[in-house]
Amino acid sequence: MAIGLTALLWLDLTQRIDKLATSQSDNTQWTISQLEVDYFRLVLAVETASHDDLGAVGDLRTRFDIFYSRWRTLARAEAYALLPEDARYKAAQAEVNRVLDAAVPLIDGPEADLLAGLPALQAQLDAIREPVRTIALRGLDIFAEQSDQQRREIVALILRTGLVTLVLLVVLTIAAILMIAAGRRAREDAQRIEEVNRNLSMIVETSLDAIIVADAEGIVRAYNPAAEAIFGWTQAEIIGQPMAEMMIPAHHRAAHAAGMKRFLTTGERRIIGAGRVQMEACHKSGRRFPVEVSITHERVGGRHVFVSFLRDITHRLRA
Amino acid sequence: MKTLLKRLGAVALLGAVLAAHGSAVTAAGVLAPPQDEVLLTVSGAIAETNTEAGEAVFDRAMLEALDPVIIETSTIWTDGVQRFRGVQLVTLLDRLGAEGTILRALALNDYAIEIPVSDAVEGGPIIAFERGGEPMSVRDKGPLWVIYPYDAVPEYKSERIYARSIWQLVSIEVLP
Repeated sequence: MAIGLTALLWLDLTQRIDKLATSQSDNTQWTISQLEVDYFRLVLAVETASHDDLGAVGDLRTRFDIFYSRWRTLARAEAYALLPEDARYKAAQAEVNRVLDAAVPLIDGPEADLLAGLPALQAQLDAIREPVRTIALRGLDIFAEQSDQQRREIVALILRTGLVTLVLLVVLTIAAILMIAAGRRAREDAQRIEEVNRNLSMIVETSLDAIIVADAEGIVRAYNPAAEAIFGWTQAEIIGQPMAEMMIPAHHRAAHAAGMKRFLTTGERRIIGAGRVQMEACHKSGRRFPVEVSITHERVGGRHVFVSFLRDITHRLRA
Repeated sequence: MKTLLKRLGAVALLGAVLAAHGSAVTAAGVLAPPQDEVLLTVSGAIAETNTEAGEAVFDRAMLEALDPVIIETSTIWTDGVQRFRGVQLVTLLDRLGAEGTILRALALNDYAIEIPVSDAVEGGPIIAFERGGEPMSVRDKGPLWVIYPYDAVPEYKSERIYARSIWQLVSIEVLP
């Protein structure tokens, strides 16, 4: 869950960074400040041209085009797209649009007509002086608001980053603590198991009784020193060999095999788990001798394990 | 991935254009004087000039001879994808044997901006003289407008590059 949460936060974070990575506006403030500059230069050009200065007409046309271009740029600027429905602003914008559109034929027309129309143009331009100023100021307002907005977004982004980092830190700390605890537990478990094994093997090694471990196939898997003394076989000779052929007299082997088969198929027990039972065993030399045996059965990891504890009772019977 | 494809597309387009007009690029020689209205004046550290004052001036036909390329891109000043046609800055500088690090670009409206010469690369900015197949008027940010392929190269969508996208361009001074 922590991973999911973290992934979600990161996704959000990267999306926000992507948004900030590419700019959607150029220097709007510059365009806004230039609007009034271009306006006054146009007014000045009209004035110069109306003083009968023929060379100034070309300059007037250029100044008009520049102001026109600036106006269109600003009107289209993304910054204004966020503008609320502001009646005063709308009216000012419409007014400037009207004057500019009306002036286009005059500017593009013959020079004589343009010169004749200059006083009217001057009056029109004077009339939009306030609207131009309104829009420029409004633009600065919006620009300031946008800057604030952007700053707030960046602050939020930084806070979010901090939060993500904090969450990550907490998650990693918890994970580290859990891992350390699990490691310690595993080490303790391993130690305990080793100790148990050591004790167990000590018991098996020093036992006076023979201890023989066999599997379901009757193959000897473990065999202690006492068993070596009783049967004459060494560990090396007997481990991996069929127990019945090595230790059970020939005439008892069929009964032993039948008993094993019965137990493995039906679970019926005669000797296994029956406590001490007396029977005859066979020494490496072929000598037969009486033993007392107790057999227990376990299933270890799905496999049958038969453990026999066995002692030679020749002396006891003789006595 | 998309950007890469776009870039490859732009390079392929450029390649086709260069192959078609290959000879003109390498055709060095004395810069002929303009026959028509001068649109652009280049001064400063340049080897090729065509005025007494040691400037290189260009009319529309001379710009046309500099293997114009097409950039299709949206811009923050226009709606939708626009088709700009113009001379690559790198082509212009190569033709003039310009030796400098900074280009001081000046606009009709007195806007001025410094463009590093390192910006002038193949597939980089152009001096556009047509938009949507039509010459641009002063009222429409013409006659010359420096356009970067903003859509093809995301790094060009920055305020610094927007500031270098000077419109109503009239002159460039190559500074050492």
